Amino acid sequence: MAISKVLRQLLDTRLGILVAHLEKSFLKDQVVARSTPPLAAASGRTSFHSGAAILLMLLGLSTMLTAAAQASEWNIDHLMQSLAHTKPGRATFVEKKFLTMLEKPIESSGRLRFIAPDSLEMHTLKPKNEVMLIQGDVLTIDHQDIHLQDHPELLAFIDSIRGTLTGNQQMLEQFFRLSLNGSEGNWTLTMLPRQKKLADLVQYIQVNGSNNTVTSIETLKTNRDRSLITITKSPTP
Amino acid sequence: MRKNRVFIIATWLAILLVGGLLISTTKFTANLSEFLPRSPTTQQAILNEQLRQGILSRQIMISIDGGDAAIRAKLSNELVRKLQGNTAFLSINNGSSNGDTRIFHYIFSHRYLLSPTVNPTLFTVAGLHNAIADSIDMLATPGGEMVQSLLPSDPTGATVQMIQSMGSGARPVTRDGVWSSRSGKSALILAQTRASGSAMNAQQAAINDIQTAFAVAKSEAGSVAANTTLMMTGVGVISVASRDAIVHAAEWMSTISITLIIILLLLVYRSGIVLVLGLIPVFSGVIVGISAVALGFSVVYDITLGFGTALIGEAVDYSIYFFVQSGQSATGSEEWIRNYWPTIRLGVLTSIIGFASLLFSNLPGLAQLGLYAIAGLLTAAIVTRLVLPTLLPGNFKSRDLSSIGEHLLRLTRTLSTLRPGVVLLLIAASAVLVSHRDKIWNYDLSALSPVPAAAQRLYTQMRTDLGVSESGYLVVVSAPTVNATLAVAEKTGNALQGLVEDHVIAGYESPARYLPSVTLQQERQAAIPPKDVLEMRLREALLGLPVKASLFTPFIKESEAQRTLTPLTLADLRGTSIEMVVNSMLIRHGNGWDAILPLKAPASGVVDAQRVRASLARHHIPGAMLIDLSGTSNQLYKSYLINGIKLSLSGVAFIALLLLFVLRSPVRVIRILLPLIAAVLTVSAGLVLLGYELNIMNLIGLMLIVAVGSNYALFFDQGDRQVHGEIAPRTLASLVIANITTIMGFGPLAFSGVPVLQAIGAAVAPGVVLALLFSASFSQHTTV
Repeated sequence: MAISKVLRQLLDTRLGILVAHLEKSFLKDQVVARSTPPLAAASGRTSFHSGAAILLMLLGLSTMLTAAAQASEWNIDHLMQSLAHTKPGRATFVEKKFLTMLEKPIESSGRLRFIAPDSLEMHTLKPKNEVMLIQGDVLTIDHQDIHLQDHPELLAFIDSIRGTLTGNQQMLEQFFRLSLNGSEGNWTLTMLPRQKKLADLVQYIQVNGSNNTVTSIETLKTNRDRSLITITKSPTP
Repeated sequence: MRKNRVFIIATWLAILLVGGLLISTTKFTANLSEFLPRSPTTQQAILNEQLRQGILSRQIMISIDGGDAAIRAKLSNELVRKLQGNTAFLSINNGSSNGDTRIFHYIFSHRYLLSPTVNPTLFTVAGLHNAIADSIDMLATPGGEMVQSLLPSDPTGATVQMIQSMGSGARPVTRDGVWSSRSGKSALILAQTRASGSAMNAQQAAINDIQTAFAVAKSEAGSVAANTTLMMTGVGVISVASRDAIVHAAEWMSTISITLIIILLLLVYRSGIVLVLGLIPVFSGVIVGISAVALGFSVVYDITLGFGTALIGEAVDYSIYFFVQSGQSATGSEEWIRNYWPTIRLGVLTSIIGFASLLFSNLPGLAQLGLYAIAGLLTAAIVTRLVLPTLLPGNFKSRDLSSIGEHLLRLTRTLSTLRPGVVLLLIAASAVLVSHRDKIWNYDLSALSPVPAAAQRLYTQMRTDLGVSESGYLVVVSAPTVNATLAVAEKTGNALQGLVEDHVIAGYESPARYLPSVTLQQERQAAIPPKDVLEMRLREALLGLPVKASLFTPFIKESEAQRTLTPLTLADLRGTSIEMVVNSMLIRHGNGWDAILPLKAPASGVVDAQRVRASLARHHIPGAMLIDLSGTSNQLYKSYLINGIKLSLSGVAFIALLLLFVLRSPVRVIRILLPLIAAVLTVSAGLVLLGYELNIMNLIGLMLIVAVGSNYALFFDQGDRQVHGEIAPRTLASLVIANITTIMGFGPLAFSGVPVLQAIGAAVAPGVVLALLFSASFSQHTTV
């Protein structure tokens, strides 16, 4: 082996791992972050929150473009079925965050694009230009990959959402207690985490919709931070 | 005469004794750098130093395979737990939570000394307002909660920007809470040994500790872990393995060679005494050869030892010539000295001239082999000539091999009809070589590596799995002190940052990023206003922002604390992972220090070296060097290989001159050299046709063909000069036996599993056979 190559590789390994540590320690990995108090809550919730919100949007976006037949009996089974028949599409979103540490809510907005079968692009235009993408098991924020395998809780959650998309209600109920309220034209699906790891972070997730269209997603965290994402369908290009 | 005899034997024994003593105190070594140039440039010195001693050489990458992910994770954690207290390791890490909170604390608690965002503007009212507004914007965007809990103590985002400036390297995947390969089929652990990678015994001990810990963890885990396995790689591991491989190969090959040769010689001589006597010149040669290398170079490379065992096959020839040619009578030795010694002497001289060219090589590995060969062959020949006759018992009789020789002679006569064939082969081989002229030589340094291809693949694989990107370029700057070196590195960083913005490079690393110079740290501290001033400015800065000043109490407190911290120095890093990172890029070098700044190639994969150099020059960075790692060392190796080829060719030219001088007949010289050249070219063409690119070790093999084959050619030539006009049956028999022993000596090397030794074996074994056949076909047989 060329000496130069060995040296180069060693140097790279060292640095690569350091960066990985740093990212892990206080950006992405909640297991690590929990041992460092000032950051713990943030990092854990971050990946959970963004991933969850995105997947829910994926869910909502895809379903609202589907003109499924109206069911005569309205229940979770039927909702799941109509949500399962999904097609790609575009939408705009507005997310309002009500953070306890701030005096006023803060807002971001941008475009959403669903790319079949399991990719979603979230392009934030305001207040900052940022692209977030889920492709399979990889979540990318500004060209940085987050491997969902690294985050078992998040992956479990995402898999359960995928279960929904494919009409797999059983899978969804493995992770959440589901309850459906309202009417077919204005329904609310409330999801309460079953697993302790999720429940420690998230109090509930509420998905609002009309027929097979998701219109908003509300997440309430255990620290009383709240996020409301409103989704508006774009005219199909 | 008797006095003379005592004197010779006493001298010989004394030399052996001194040689033995020398060898017993000699340092033997096997590391990857033995074929690095002896008089390296500054760049090479840095690489060399890093490879041998540097922190970089201390990594052991460990992978656990088999079982399921859960059990691999369990074993991984268990292994780390068991080795954590072990003093042989500076650190051991598998990506689980407990490892790197120290890095976080280091960066977080010194963020205003470390962060490049800290300057006087940042702490003005406008600067604070903008920075905090940016942080809030970041909170608003999806994924922004990342920074949420940092806001009260770090509202300007110094920590986040510091991390971002460190770049986003690839990172290992985590499965079940521990590092895993991309495929998810292995758990990965990274250990850093206290001993350097070249401290073989310490590395071996560390490897053993890891193996023991794994074995215990595995047995504790019970039957679920039954089919899990442990693999390790790294510079130290590879060095130990290649040392073991070379020593093992050298031991095995010499055992096989010696056994085969002994069996052959027993069959030939049918006498134990003759056998023992016959091996005396060889072993004398080996002892003197190693001693000469030990004297000439302070260390002896294990490769040299491996090569030495092969030389046995050549050195034994002299005693074979002596016993077989001198025939039955005790008086035969004097006759032999008269009739044959001049020919052998000429053969030894041609060999020495051939190997002498290696002495001028700048690669210490080659120079050692050259010295070893010269000293060993010369000793074997002299011992055969002077010592062996004195040791013969009075009633000595060696077996007469004339009858075998007669048979061989009849075969040989038919060979002369093949002469046109040899010429055709020579032309064909030349044609092959000419048509493949671009693919004959392998100019890649890695071709010489004693590391087997499988080990190289494992290394590359694990490196990839641990998440590493390729970067081929380094900028190296120097200064007399650590602080001055870091300051130059900072200046270089400014130049490189411009190149990042111009997309000439994608990024760079610098030791100053983790440990800024004291000067820069103090400048940053000076930028932080005193507590009351900062409080006032902050209140003003928060106007129009949706946040209360009281949230930022931690920020005020920490700014004040860090304002008066003693600046960090290398000593503060002791024992942390940051220390290792800094040490990997900050190296003591002679009287000063070098900072190494690796560059990241842009998307195109190619760094425009001209633009980098131009930028470094524009920023007036004294003595900054841009090193293209693979380019530089391969370039150097190429120049040494070309130099080696030139030296070998001049060696052949000198052999021709020597023969011309002694024989005084151009026709005879051509008749002697042509078969040898034909053999060398045929072997080269054969290897090239098999898709093998020749390296510098093959070149040595080709030299050996000439060295060994010259003896054959000279004997055939001498036979042509005899009264009966052809080689004596006994002489021919001795050549064939010598040829077989050479094959036995070198042949096994081709199967040694050590690439460097294989290269020699694969060239020499077929080459000497061809040299004998070709030489035979070119003999004149005037009376036939």
